[in-house]
Amino acid sequence: MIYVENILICIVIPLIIASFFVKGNVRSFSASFVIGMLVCLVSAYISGTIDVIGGIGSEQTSIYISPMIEELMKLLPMIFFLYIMEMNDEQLILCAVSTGAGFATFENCVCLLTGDTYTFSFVLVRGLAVGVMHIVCMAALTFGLIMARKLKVLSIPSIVGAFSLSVTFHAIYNLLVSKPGITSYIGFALPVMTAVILYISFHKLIEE
Amino acid sequence: MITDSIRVITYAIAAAVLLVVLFKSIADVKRKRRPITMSFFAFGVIGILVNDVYWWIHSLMYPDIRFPFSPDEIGACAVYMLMSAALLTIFDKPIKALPHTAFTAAFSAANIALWIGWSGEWIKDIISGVVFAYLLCTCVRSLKESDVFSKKQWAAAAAAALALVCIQTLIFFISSEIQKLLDIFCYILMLAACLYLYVRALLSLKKSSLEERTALSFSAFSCCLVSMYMSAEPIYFMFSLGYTLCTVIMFLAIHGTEKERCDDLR
Repeated sequence: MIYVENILICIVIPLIIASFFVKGNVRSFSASFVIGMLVCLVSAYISGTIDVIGGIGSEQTSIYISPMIEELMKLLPMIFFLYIMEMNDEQLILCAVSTGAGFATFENCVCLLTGDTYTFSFVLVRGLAVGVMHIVCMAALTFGLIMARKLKVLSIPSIVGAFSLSVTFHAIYNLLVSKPGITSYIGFALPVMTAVILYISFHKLIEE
Repeated sequence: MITDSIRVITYAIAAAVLLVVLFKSIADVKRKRRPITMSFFAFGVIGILVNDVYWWIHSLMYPDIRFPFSPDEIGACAVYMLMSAALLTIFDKPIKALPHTAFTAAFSAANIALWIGWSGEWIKDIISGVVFAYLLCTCVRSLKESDVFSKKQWAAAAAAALALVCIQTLIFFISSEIQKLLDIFCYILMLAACLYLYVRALLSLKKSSLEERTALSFSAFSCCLVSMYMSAEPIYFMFSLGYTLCTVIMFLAIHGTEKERCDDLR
């Protein structure tokens, strides 16, 4: 049996060692990537515990509980980057996207290593939909925070607003892919489409 | 089937209205027209829109499942907080209205108790209820500060709120025939309150001050929300549409009159 903690150790240690030899944005990227993976593990622990204690069932946990827990856990490092490290917009986007990428990578690794043999189409969907979704959620959250800071309205309501945006997006995705058929196809396409919109918006925002 | 059709129509109208309001408010933020108030308001509108999309998809895919705390509750809490923040930016000095705030807090607590009684969802109702109470208290304090109601009108509002809570509590303990009559009375009372605030908010758009306009429009929005949470489908959708349409009045109230815009440009 493969333990998820073992997978984490195998991926995280080389990244931590590598980050000592690099500087600047590359170090920020690898550190945030590691944070993303740790956040994924902690989220899985919390969601799993709630599932077991509440007797909710894995399907309902993934539709209702996971989006809230995962996005809350991803918000915490962002608050740290924003308030304690006082990062600028570009650094914030870099760290947010790499945290999301770390989260998605670890989730995909665990899914592939602990499950049965998968088809190539499944792996492609896993990478393009789930992988991109976590990055999009983090990008949406950061976009909200940066906008709020630019407009001088960064306060508890704005943070909760940005957080709710990422939670609802994640929940919509999980809802759509929870049943096979047309809704799941819409769900799989949603992260990529949103990623394109956010990519354009980010570039406009940075140019302004 | 009819309820499903009404739901689809309501969500479609709501989405169209909210998108227009959102683009208009973003345009105002870009033009630096009350940017802070408008930013909070625009964030709130985004929250309503995304929540509506979530609920629409949820009701299509899982019409019979109600989870004790679903992700859209966070969205609802965010909307209440953002709208409160938008309203508070209008009033420069701290608003003091202790008796009114205390009564509103008690009314909100009674509302939370009723929601729990109807749905049995403790966690959800308490968390979102507390934030909703904050929005209601902010609206009442802004109404008091802008002095839009006379003493008699305040007394009438308090009496209506008290009657609503008492009747809704009574409905738990009586037979179904009288229950229907009391329910109809409550719907009429809520509709009258919403319409009164709607008309006052609309009339205030042309000649009243910014404080009065925003206080009335945000209160009409809150009143529609209270009524919506106290209603069953399909009347629920009517109040749902009402609070969506209220965002238009709220936008116009913050946006300002022609004269104000000219004064700002000078």
